[in-house]
Amino acid sequence: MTEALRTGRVLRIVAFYVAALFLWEGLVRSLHVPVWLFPAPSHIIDVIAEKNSVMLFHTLVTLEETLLGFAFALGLGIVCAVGIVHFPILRDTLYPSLIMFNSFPKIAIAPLFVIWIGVGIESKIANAFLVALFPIVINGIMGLTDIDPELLELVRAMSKSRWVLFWKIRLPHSLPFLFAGCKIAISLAVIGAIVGEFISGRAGLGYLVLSANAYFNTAMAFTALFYLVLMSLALYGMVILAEKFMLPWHRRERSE
Amino acid sequence: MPESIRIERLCKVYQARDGTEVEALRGVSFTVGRREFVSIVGQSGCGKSTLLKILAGLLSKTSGTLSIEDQAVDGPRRDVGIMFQKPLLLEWRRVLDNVLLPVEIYQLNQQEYEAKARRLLSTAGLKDFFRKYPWELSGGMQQRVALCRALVAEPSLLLMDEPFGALDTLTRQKMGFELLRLWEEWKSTVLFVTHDIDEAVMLSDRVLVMSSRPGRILDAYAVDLPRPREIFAKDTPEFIHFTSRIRRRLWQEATDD
Repeated sequence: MTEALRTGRVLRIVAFYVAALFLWEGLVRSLHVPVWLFPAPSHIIDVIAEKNSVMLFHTLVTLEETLLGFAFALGLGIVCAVGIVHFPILRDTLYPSLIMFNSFPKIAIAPLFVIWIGVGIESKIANAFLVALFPIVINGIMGLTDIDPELLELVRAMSKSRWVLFWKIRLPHSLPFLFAGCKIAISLAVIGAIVGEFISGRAGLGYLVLSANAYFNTAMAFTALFYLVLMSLALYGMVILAEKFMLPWHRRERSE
Repeated sequence: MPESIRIERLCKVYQARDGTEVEALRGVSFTVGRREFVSIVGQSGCGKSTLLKILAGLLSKTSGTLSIEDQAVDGPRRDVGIMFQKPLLLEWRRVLDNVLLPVEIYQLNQQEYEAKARRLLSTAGLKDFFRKYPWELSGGMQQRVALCRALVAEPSLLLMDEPFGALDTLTRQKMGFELLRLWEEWKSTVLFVTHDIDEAVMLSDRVLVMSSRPGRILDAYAVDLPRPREIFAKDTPEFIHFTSRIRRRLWQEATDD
Protein backbone atom coordinates (compact mmCIF):
# COMPACT_ATOMS: atom_id res chain seq x y z
CA MET A 1 0.00 0.00 0.00
CA THR A 2 1.32 3.46 -0.83
CA GLU A 3 1.76 6.16 1.80
CA ALA A 4 -0.99 8.35 0.34
CA LEU A 5 -3.52 5.53 0.27
CA ARG A 6 -2.70 4.62 3.86
CA THR A 7 -3.07 8.19 5.12
CA GLY A 8 -6.37 8.44 3.29
CA ARG A 9 -7.60 5.30 4.99
CA VAL A 10 -6.52 6.44 8.45
CA LEU A 11 -8.24 9.77 7.87
CA ARG A 12 -11.48 8.05 6.87
CA ILE A 13 -11.45 5.87 9.98
CA VAL A 14 -10.77 8.83 12.31
CA ALA A 15 -13.44 10.92 10.58
CA PHE A 16 -15.99 8.12 11.02
CA TYR A 17 -15.43 7.86 14.77
CA VAL A 18 -15.37 11.61 15.34
CA ALA A 19 -18.63 11.93 13.39
CA ALA A 20 -20.19 9.08 15.40
CA LEU A 21 -19.25 10.81 18.67
CA PHE A 22 -20.79 14.10 17.56
CA LEU A 23 -23.94 12.34 16.39
CA TRP A 24 -24.23 10.58 19.77
CA GLU A 25 -23.74 13.86 21.67
CA GLY A 26 -26.21 15.66 19.42
CA LEU A 27 -28.90 12.97 19.72
CA VAL A 28 -28.64 12.75 23.52
CA ARG A 29 -28.88 16.57 23.87
CA SER A 30 -31.63 17.19 21.35
CA LEU A 31 -33.80 14.34 22.63
CA HIS A 32 -33.14 15.32 26.27
CA VAL A 33 -32.17 11.79 27.24
CA PRO A 34 -31.58 11.75 31.03
CA VAL A 35 -27.97 11.01 32.01
CA TRP A 36 -28.93 7.99 34.15
CA LEU A 37 -30.45 6.39 31.04
CA PHE A 38 -27.85 7.10 28.39
CA PRO A 39 -24.97 9.53 29.05
CA ALA A 40 -23.48 11.66 26.28
CA PRO A 41 -19.75 11.55 25.43
CA SER A 42 -19.29 14.82 27.28
CA HIS A 43 -20.57 13.22 30.52
CA ILE A 44 -18.13 10.40 30.09
CA ILE A 45 -15.27 12.82 29.46
CA ASP A 46 -16.23 14.61 32.68
CA VAL A 47 -16.04 11.37 34.66
CA ILE A 48 -12.70 10.48 33.06
CA ALA A 49 -11.28 13.89 33.99
CA GLU A 50 -12.53 13.66 37.54
CA LYS A 51 -11.97 9.97 38.32
CA ASN A 52 -9.04 8.98 36.14
CA SER A 53 -6.86 7.71 39.00
CA VAL A 54 -9.71 5.62 40.47
CA MET A 55 -10.39 4.24 37.00
CA LEU A 56 -6.76 3.37 36.47
CA PHE A 57 -6.64 1.58 39.82
CA HIS A 58 -9.59 -0.63 38.86
CA THR A 59 -8.21 -1.16 35.36
CA LEU A 60 -4.93 -2.41 36.83
CA VAL A 61 -6.80 -4.89 39.03
CA THR A 62 -8.66 -6.36 36.03
CA LEU A 63 -5.48 -6.27 33.95
CA GLU A 64 -3.59 -8.23 36.57
CA GLU A 65 -6.32 -10.89 36.80
CA THR A 66 -6.50 -11.20 33.04
CA LEU A 67 -2.76 -11.38 32.45
CA LEU A 68 -2.12 -13.91 35.20
CA GLY A 69 -5.02 -16.08 34.06
CA PHE A 70 -3.81 -15.87 30.47
CA ALA A 71 -0.19 -16.62 31.42
CA PHE A 72 -1.17 -19.74 33.38
CA ALA A 73 -3.41 -20.83 30.49
CA LEU A 74 -0.59 -20.33 28.00
CA GLY A 75 1.93 -22.27 30.08
CA LEU A 76 -0.32 -25.17 30.98
CA GLY A 77 -1.96 -25.11 27.54
CA ILE A 78 1.35 -25.67 25.78
CA VAL A 79 2.32 -28.42 28.22
CA CYS A 80 -1.06 -30.13 27.67
CA ALA A 81 -0.81 -29.86 23.88
CA VAL A 82 2.73 -31.25 23.76
CA GLY A 83 1.78 -34.03 26.19
CA ILE A 84 -1.35 -35.03 24.27
CA VAL A 85 0.55 -35.12 20.97
CA HIS A 86 3.43 -37.20 22.32
CA PHE A 87 1.87 -39.60 24.84
CA PRO A 88 -0.94 -41.93 23.74
CA ILE A 89 -2.06 -42.32 27.35
CA LEU A 90 -2.76 -38.57 27.56
CA ARG A 91 -4.33 -38.53 24.10
CA ASP A 92 -6.82 -41.16 25.25
CA THR A 93 -7.57 -39.68 28.66
CA LEU A 94 -6.82 -35.98 28.96
CA TYR A 95 -7.82 -35.03 25.40
CA PRO A 96 -11.39 -36.38 25.46
CA SER A 97 -11.92 -34.84 28.91
CA LEU A 98 -10.77 -31.48 27.59
CA ILE A 99 -13.06 -31.72 24.57
CA MET A 100 -15.96 -32.70 26.81
CA PHE A 101 -15.25 -29.87 29.22
CA ASN A 102 -14.86 -27.40 26.38
CA SER A 103 -18.40 -27.94 25.16
CA PHE A 104 -19.60 -27.02 28.63
CA PRO A 105 -20.28 -23.36 29.58
CA LYS A 106 -17.23 -22.97 31.78
CA ILE A 107 -18.34 -19.64 33.16
CA ALA A 108 -21.04 -21.51 35.11
CA ILE A 109 -18.31 -22.84 37.39
CA ALA A 110 -17.35 -19.32 38.46
CA PRO A 111 -19.48 -19.30 41.65
CA LEU A 112 -17.80 -22.52 42.76
CA PHE A 113 -14.37 -20.87 42.58
CA VAL A 114 -15.59 -18.42 45.21
CA ILE A 115 -16.33 -21.35 47.53
CA TRP A 116 -13.06 -23.08 46.74
CA ILE A 117 -10.59 -20.23 46.66
CA GLY A 118 -12.38 -17.25 48.13
CA VAL A 119 -13.48 -13.80 47.05
CA GLY A 120 -9.98 -12.45 46.38
CA ILE A 121 -8.17 -11.99 43.11
CA GLU A 122 -7.39 -15.73 42.91
CA SER A 123 -10.93 -16.75 41.92
CA LYS A 124 -10.89 -14.20 39.06
CA ILE A 125 -7.53 -15.48 37.87
CA ALA A 126 -8.92 -19.01 37.98
CA ASN A 127 -11.87 -17.88 35.89
CA ALA A 128 -9.73 -16.15 33.29
CA PHE A 129 -7.42 -19.17 33.19
CA LEU A 130 -10.24 -21.63 32.68
CA VAL A 131 -11.80 -19.91 29.70
CA ALA A 132 -8.42 -19.07 28.09
CA LEU A 133 -7.02 -22.60 28.35
CA PHE A 134 -9.03 -24.37 25.66
CA PRO A 135 -8.27 -22.32 22.57
CA ILE A 136 -4.58 -22.60 23.41
CA VAL A 137 -4.65 -26.37 23.88
CA ILE A 138 -6.80 -27.03 20.82
CA ASN A 139 -4.78 -24.73 18.54
CA GLY A 140 -1.53 -26.04 19.99
CA ILE A 141 -2.48 -29.63 19.18
CA MET A 142 -3.50 -28.64 15.68
CA GLY A 143 -0.25 -26.78 15.11
CA LEU A 144 1.86 -29.68 16.35
CA THR A 145 0.10 -32.29 14.22
CA ASP A 146 -1.36 -30.63 11.11
CA ILE A 147 1.87 -31.09 9.15
CA ASP A 148 2.34 -32.42 5.61
CA PRO A 149 2.97 -36.17 6.09
CA GLU A 150 5.66 -36.06 3.39
CA LEU A 151 7.54 -33.41 5.36
CA LEU A 152 7.49 -35.74 8.36
CA GLU A 153 8.85 -38.51 6.14
CA LEU A 154 11.56 -36.25 4.81
CA VAL A 155 12.76 -35.55 8.33
CA ARG A 156 12.35 -39.18 9.44
CA ALA A 157 14.56 -40.18 6.52
CA MET A 158 17.27 -38.12 8.21
CA SER A 159 16.65 -38.95 11.84
CA LYS A 160 14.42 -41.21 13.88
CA SER A 161 14.64 -38.93 16.89
CA ARG A 162 11.29 -37.53 18.08
CA TRP A 163 13.28 -34.79 19.77
CA VAL A 164 14.66 -33.60 16.41
CA LEU A 165 11.19 -33.75 14.90
CA PHE A 166 9.77 -31.73 17.77
CA TRP A 167 12.36 -28.95 17.84
CA LYS A 168 13.00 -28.62 14.12
CA ILE A 169 9.49 -29.16 12.76
CA ARG A 170 6.58 -29.51 15.16
CA LEU A 171 7.30 -26.60 17.48
CA PRO A 172 8.06 -23.93 14.87
CA HIS A 173 5.17 -25.20 12.76
CA SER A 174 2.79 -24.82 15.71
CA LEU A 175 3.62 -21.17 16.47
CA PRO A 176 1.17 -19.50 14.02
CA PHE A 177 -1.59 -21.80 15.31
CA LEU A 178 -0.61 -21.00 18.88
CA PHE A 179 -0.79 -17.27 18.21
CA ALA A 180 -4.22 -17.69 16.63
CA GLY A 181 -5.23 -19.46 19.86
CA CYS A 182 -3.71 -16.66 21.96
CA LYS A 183 -5.74 -14.03 20.13
CA ILE A 184 -8.94 -15.83 21.10
CA ALA A 185 -7.67 -16.67 24.57
CA ILE A 186 -6.70 -13.14 25.57
CA SER A 187 -10.19 -11.82 24.78
CA LEU A 188 -11.79 -14.73 26.62
CA ALA A 189 -9.51 -14.12 29.63
CA VAL A 190 -10.89 -10.59 29.95
CA ILE A 191 -14.43 -11.99 29.96
CA GLY A 192 -13.42 -14.55 32.60
CA ALA A 193 -11.96 -11.87 34.86
CA ILE A 194 -14.98 -9.57 34.48
CA VAL A 195 -17.48 -12.34 35.23
CA GLY A 196 -15.41 -13.23 38.29
CA GLU A 197 -15.68 -9.64 39.45
CA PHE A 198 -19.44 -9.63 38.84
CA ILE A 199 -19.80 -12.57 41.16
CA SER A 200 -17.58 -11.60 44.06
CA GLY A 201 -15.59 -8.50 43.21
CA ARG A 202 -14.22 -5.88 45.56
CA ALA A 203 -12.29 -4.10 42.84
CA GLY A 204 -11.79 -4.11 39.09
CA LEU A 205 -13.73 -2.77 36.13
CA GLY A 206 -16.40 -5.48 36.34
CA TYR A 207 -17.00 -4.63 39.97
CA LEU A 208 -17.12 -0.94 39.02
CA VAL A 209 -19.74 -1.47 36.30
CA LEU A 210 -21.90 -3.44 38.71
CA SER A 211 -21.68 -0.97 41.61
CA ALA A 212 -22.19 2.05 39.33
CA ASN A 213 -25.29 0.31 37.98
CA ALA A 214 -26.63 -0.19 41.49
CA TYR A 215 -26.52 3.62 42.05
CA PHE A 216 -27.86 4.43 38.57
CA ASN A 217 -24.51 6.09 37.93
CA THR A 218 -24.67 5.21 34.26
CA ALA A 219 -21.95 7.69 33.25
CA MET A 220 -19.57 5.87 35.60
CA ALA A 221 -20.57 2.48 34.16
CA PHE A 222 -19.95 3.78 30.63
CA THR A 223 -16.59 5.13 31.67
CA ALA A 224 -15.63 1.76 33.14
CA LEU A 225 -16.63 0.14 29.84
CA PHE A 226 -14.49 2.67 28.00
CA TYR A 227 -11.43 1.68 30.04
CA LEU A 228 -12.30 -1.95 29.51
CA VAL A 229 -12.35 -1.49 25.74
CA LEU A 230 -8.97 0.27 25.83
CA MET A 231 -7.51 -2.49 27.99
CA SER A 232 -8.81 -5.30 25.75
CA LEU A 233 -7.53 -3.55 22.65
CA ALA A 234 -4.12 -3.04 24.22
CA LEU A 235 -3.92 -6.72 25.21
CA TYR A 236 -4.94 -7.86 21.73
CA GLY A 237 -2.44 -5.46 20.22
CA MET A 238 0.30 -6.93 22.40
CA VAL A 239 -0.42 -10.42 21.08
CA ILE A 240 -0.30 -9.11 17.49
CA LEU A 241 2.99 -7.34 18.18
CA ALA A 242 4.50 -10.44 19.75
CA GLU A 243 3.39 -12.42 16.71
CA LYS A 244 4.97 -9.96 14.29
CA PHE A 245 8.16 -10.01 16.29
CA MET A 246 8.36 -13.79 16.65
CA LEU A 247 7.02 -14.83 13.25
CA PRO A 248 8.48 -12.41 10.73
CA TRP A 249 8.03 -15.09 8.07
CA HIS A 250 4.35 -15.58 8.61
CA ARG A 251 1.58 -15.20 6.01
CA ARG A 252 0.22 -12.04 7.58
CA GLU A 253 3.18 -10.20 6.06
CA ARG A 254 2.54 -11.61 2.63
CA SER A 255 -0.45 -9.57 1.64
CA GLU A 256 1.59 -6.39 1.11
CA MET B 1 31.49 -51.23 -11.46
CA PRO B 2 31.17 -51.12 -7.63
CA GLU B 3 27.58 -51.27 -6.48
CA SER B 4 25.64 -48.57 -4.70
CA ILE B 5 22.32 -50.40 -4.46
CA ARG B 6 21.65 -54.12 -4.60
CA ILE B 7 18.06 -55.34 -4.39
CA GLU B 8 17.12 -58.99 -4.59
CA ARG B 9 13.63 -60.47 -4.75
CA LEU B 10 12.20 -57.57 -2.80
CA CYS B 11 8.54 -57.97 -1.88
CA LYS B 12 6.26 -55.59 -0.07
CA VAL B 13 2.78 -56.35 1.14
CA TYR B 14 0.98 -53.84 3.28
CA GLN B 15 -2.34 -53.65 5.04
CA ALA B 16 -4.75 -51.21 3.46
CA ARG B 17 -7.03 -49.20 5.72
CA ASP B 18 -9.93 -51.57 5.17
CA GLY B 19 -7.80 -54.51 6.34
CA THR B 20 -7.17 -56.09 2.95
CA GLU B 21 -3.62 -56.92 1.96
CA VAL B 22 -2.13 -55.00 -0.94
CA GLU B 23 0.84 -56.39 -2.79
CA ALA B 24 2.89 -53.36 -3.78
CA LEU B 25 6.13 -54.99 -4.94
CA ARG B 26 6.72 -58.53 -6.16
CA GLY B 27 10.20 -59.93 -6.56
CA VAL B 28 11.99 -56.75 -7.51
CA SER B 29 15.66 -57.28 -8.27
CA PHE B 30 18.19 -54.85 -9.68
CA THR B 31 21.48 -53.21 -8.92
CA VAL B 32 22.66 -49.66 -9.36
CA GLY B 33 26.33 -48.92 -9.84
CA ARG B 34 28.13 -46.28 -7.86
CA ARG B 35 27.64 -42.85 -9.48
CA GLU B 36 25.18 -44.26 -11.92
CA PHE B 37 22.03 -42.31 -12.81
CA VAL B 38 19.13 -44.76 -12.96
CA SER B 39 15.49 -43.90 -13.60
CA ILE B 40 12.43 -46.00 -12.87
CA VAL B 41 9.42 -45.37 -15.07
CA GLY B 42 5.98 -46.80 -14.52
CA GLN B 43 2.31 -45.95 -14.17
CA SER B 44 1.14 -44.13 -11.09
CA GLY B 45 0.45 -46.50 -8.24
CA CYS B 46 2.92 -49.11 -9.51
CA GLY B 47 4.95 -49.10 -6.31
CA LYS B 48 7.79 -46.80 -7.40
CA SER B 49 7.35 -44.59 -4.37
CA THR B 50 7.06 -47.59 -2.07
CA LEU B 51 10.38 -48.85 -3.40
CA LEU B 52 12.01 -45.49 -2.78
CA LYS B 53 10.62 -45.28 0.74
CA ILE B 54 11.96 -48.74 1.54
CA LEU B 55 15.38 -47.63 0.32
CA ALA B 56 15.13 -44.49 2.43
CA GLY B 57 14.44 -46.63 5.49
CA LEU B 58 10.96 -45.18 5.91
CA LEU B 59 9.10 -48.43 5.21
CA SER B 60 10.02 -51.98 6.09
CA LYS B 61 10.24 -54.68 3.45
CA THR B 62 8.17 -57.86 3.59
CA SER B 63 10.84 -60.16 2.15
CA GLY B 64 13.96 -60.12 0.02
CA THR B 65 17.25 -58.39 0.60
CA LEU B 66 18.39 -54.89 -0.06
CA SER B 67 21.65 -53.13 0.64
CA ILE B 68 23.13 -49.71 0.09
CA GLU B 69 26.93 -49.49 -0.15
CA ASP B 70 27.12 -53.15 0.89
CA GLN B 71 25.19 -52.57 4.10
CA ALA B 72 21.73 -54.00 4.68
CA VAL B 73 19.13 -51.23 4.93
CA ASP B 74 17.46 -51.19 8.33
CA GLY B 75 16.52 -47.54 8.75
CA PRO B 76 17.42 -44.00 7.73
CA ARG B 77 20.99 -43.51 6.56
CA ARG B 78 23.09 -40.41 6.73
CA ASP B 79 24.54 -40.92 3.25
CA VAL B 80 21.14 -40.98 1.52
CA GLY B 81 19.45 -37.79 0.34
CA ILE B 82 15.79 -37.71 -0.61
CA MET B 83 13.61 -35.39 -2.65
CA PHE B 84 9.86 -35.47 -3.27
CA GLN B 85 7.49 -33.90 -5.77
CA LYS B 86 6.68 -31.13 -3.32
CA PRO B 87 9.60 -28.92 -2.21
CA LEU B 88 8.61 -29.35 1.46
CA LEU B 89 10.59 -26.34 2.57
CA LEU B 90 10.21 -25.09 6.14
CA GLU B 91 8.36 -21.83 5.71
CA TRP B 92 9.80 -20.32 8.90
CA ARG B 93 13.36 -20.70 7.63
CA ARG B 94 15.15 -18.62 5.08
CA VAL B 95 16.49 -20.33 1.97
CA LEU B 96 20.02 -20.85 3.33
CA ASP B 97 18.74 -22.22 6.65
CA ASN B 98 16.42 -24.56 4.78
CA VAL B 99 19.38 -26.00 2.91
CA LEU B 100 21.26 -26.41 6.19
CA LEU B 101 18.52 -28.52 7.83
CA PRO B 102 20.31 -31.86 7.21
CA VAL B 103 23.56 -30.34 8.48
CA GLU B 104 21.84 -29.48 11.77
CA ILE B 105 20.14 -32.85 12.07
CA TYR B 106 23.36 -34.76 11.34
CA GLN B 107 25.27 -32.32 13.58
CA LEU B 108 27.92 -31.62 10.97
CA ASN B 109 30.33 -28.71 11.04
CA GLN B 110 28.06 -25.69 10.56
CA GLN B 111 30.68 -23.32 9.11
CA GLU B 112 32.13 -25.73 6.63
CA TYR B 113 28.75 -26.78 5.33
CA GLU B 114 27.38 -23.27 5.22
CA ALA B 115 30.06 -22.46 2.66
CA LYS B 116 29.02 -25.61 0.82
CA ALA B 117 25.35 -24.61 0.92
CA ARG B 118 26.18 -21.17 -0.48
CA ARG B 119 28.15 -22.76 -3.32
CA LEU B 120 25.33 -25.16 -4.12
CA LEU B 121 22.71 -22.42 -4.13
CA SER B 122 24.90 -20.23 -6.33
CA THR B 123 25.36 -23.08 -8.79
CA ALA B 124 21.59 -23.52 -8.83
CA GLY B 125 21.17 -19.84 -9.75
CA LEU B 126 19.92 -18.74 -6.32
CA LYS B 127 22.81 -16.47 -5.39
CA ASP B 128 20.54 -13.54 -4.58
CA PHE B 129 18.00 -15.54 -2.60
CA PHE B 130 19.93 -16.79 0.46
CA ARG B 131 17.97 -14.56 2.83
CA LYS B 132 14.53 -14.99 1.24
CA TYR B 133 11.68 -16.98 2.72
CA PRO B 134 10.29 -19.90 0.66
CA TRP B 135 7.02 -18.10 -0.14
CA GLU B 136 8.99 -15.39 -1.92
CA LEU B 137 10.22 -17.97 -4.46
CA SER B 138 8.55 -19.52 -7.50
CA GLY B 139 7.75 -23.24 -7.56
CA GLY B 140 10.80 -24.04 -9.68
CA MET B 141 13.09 -22.07 -7.39
CA GLN B 142 11.64 -23.78 -4.33
CA GLN B 143 12.36 -27.14 -5.90
CA ARG B 144 15.95 -26.06 -6.59
CA VAL B 145 16.31 -25.18 -2.91
CA ALA B 146 14.99 -28.65 -2.07
CA LEU B 147 17.61 -30.13 -4.41
CA CYS B 148 20.38 -28.18 -2.69
CA ARG B 149 19.07 -29.39 0.67
CA ALA B 150 19.15 -32.99 -0.56
CA LEU B 151 22.75 -32.56 -1.72
CA VAL B 152 24.29 -30.47 1.04
CA ALA B 153 25.35 -33.33 3.30
CA GLU B 154 27.02 -35.00 0.31
CA PRO B 155 24.91 -38.13 0.07
CA SER B 156 26.40 -41.04 -1.80
CA LEU B 157 22.88 -41.88 -2.97
CA LEU B 158 20.17 -39.45 -4.00
CA LEU B 159 16.59 -40.75 -4.10
CA MET B 160 14.18 -38.63 -6.15
CA ASP B 161 10.44 -39.26 -6.27
CA GLU B 162 9.04 -37.40 -9.31
CA PRO B 163 10.92 -34.32 -8.16
CA PHE B 164 9.88 -32.14 -11.10
CA GLY B 165 6.40 -33.58 -11.56
CA ALA B 166 4.62 -30.45 -10.37
CA LEU B 167 6.48 -28.06 -12.68
CA ASP B 168 5.53 -26.87 -16.16
CA THR B 169 7.26 -28.59 -19.08
CA LEU B 170 9.86 -25.92 -19.75
CA THR B 171 10.84 -25.41 -16.12
CA ARG B 172 10.90 -29.15 -15.73
CA GLN B 173 13.38 -29.57 -18.59
CA LYS B 174 15.57 -26.77 -17.26
CA MET B 175 15.55 -28.37 -13.82
CA GLY B 176 16.57 -31.67 -15.36
CA PHE B 177 19.66 -30.12 -16.90
CA GLU B 178 20.47 -28.31 -13.69
CA LEU B 179 20.25 -31.60 -11.87
CA LEU B 180 22.64 -33.14 -14.41
CA ARG B 181 25.08 -30.27 -13.97
CA LEU B 182 25.05 -30.64 -10.19
CA TRP B 183 25.25 -34.40 -10.49
CA GLU B 184 28.30 -34.19 -12.74
CA GLU B 185 29.93 -31.97 -10.16
CA TRP B 186 28.98 -33.91 -7.00
CA LYS B 187 28.80 -37.37 -8.53
CA SER B 188 26.48 -39.27 -6.28
CA THR B 189 24.38 -42.23 -7.32
CA VAL B 190 20.89 -41.14 -8.38
CA LEU B 191 17.74 -43.23 -8.36
CA PHE B 192 15.09 -41.17 -10.11
CA VAL B 193 11.42 -42.10 -10.19
CA THR B 194 9.23 -40.58 -12.90
CA HIS B 195 6.38 -41.36 -15.25
CA ASP B 196 7.84 -39.12 -17.96
CA ILE B 197 9.71 -41.32 -20.45
CA ASP B 198 11.47 -38.38 -22.18
CA GLU B 199 12.71 -37.13 -18.87
CA ALA B 200 13.99 -40.57 -17.87
CA VAL B 201 15.90 -41.07 -21.13
CA MET B 202 17.28 -37.53 -21.14
CA LEU B 203 18.75 -37.83 -17.66
CA SER B 204 19.69 -41.46 -17.16
CA ASP B 205 22.44 -43.97 -17.79
CA ARG B 206 19.84 -46.67 -17.42
CA VAL B 207 16.04 -46.76 -17.42
CA LEU B 208 14.14 -49.47 -15.57
CA VAL B 209 10.57 -50.11 -16.62
CA MET B 210 8.24 -51.14 -13.85
CA SER B 211 4.94 -52.97 -14.19
CA SER B 212 1.71 -51.83 -12.62
CA ARG B 213 0.86 -53.24 -9.22
CA PRO B 214 2.30 -55.46 -7.96
CA GLY B 215 5.45 -53.72 -9.15
CA ARG B 216 8.08 -55.77 -10.93
CA ILE B 217 10.99 -54.69 -13.07
CA LEU B 218 9.97 -55.57 -16.65
CA ASP B 219 13.03 -54.40 -18.52
CA ALA B 220 16.16 -52.31 -18.28
CA TYR B 221 17.45 -50.05 -21.05
CA ALA B 222 21.04 -48.81 -21.04
CA VAL B 223 20.92 -45.29 -22.49
CA ASP B 224 24.32 -44.84 -24.11
CA LEU B 225 23.71 -41.32 -25.37
CA PRO B 226 26.77 -39.06 -25.02
CA ARG B 227 27.18 -36.74 -22.05
CA PRO B 228 26.83 -33.91 -21.34
CA ARG B 229 23.30 -34.19 -22.64
CA GLU B 230 21.58 -31.26 -24.25
CA ILE B 231 17.99 -30.46 -25.06
CA PHE B 232 18.15 -30.92 -28.83
CA ALA B 233 19.29 -34.49 -28.36
CA LYS B 234 15.56 -35.08 -27.97
CA ASP B 235 15.08 -34.69 -31.70
CA THR B 236 17.75 -37.23 -32.66
CA PRO B 237 16.88 -40.73 -33.90
CA GLU B 238 19.04 -42.24 -31.13
CA PHE B 239 16.94 -40.54 -28.47
CA ILE B 240 13.67 -41.48 -30.10
CA HIS B 241 14.94 -45.02 -30.46
CA PHE B 242 15.00 -45.30 -26.67
CA THR B 243 11.82 -43.43 -25.89
CA SER B 244 9.75 -45.37 -28.40
CA ARG B 245 11.04 -48.74 -27.17
CA ILE B 246 10.26 -47.82 -23.58
CA ARG B 247 6.88 -46.41 -24.53
CA ARG B 248 6.03 -49.64 -26.39
CA ARG B 249 7.07 -51.74 -23.41
CA LEU B 250 4.94 -49.71 -21.01
CA TRP B 251 2.00 -49.64 -23.38
CA GLN B 252 2.16 -53.36 -23.94
CA GLU B 253 2.15 -53.94 -20.20
CA ALA B 254 -0.64 -51.44 -19.57
CA THR B 255 -2.94 -53.00 -22.15
CA ASP B 256 -2.16 -56.61 -21.25
CA ASP B 257 -4.80 -56.95 -18.58
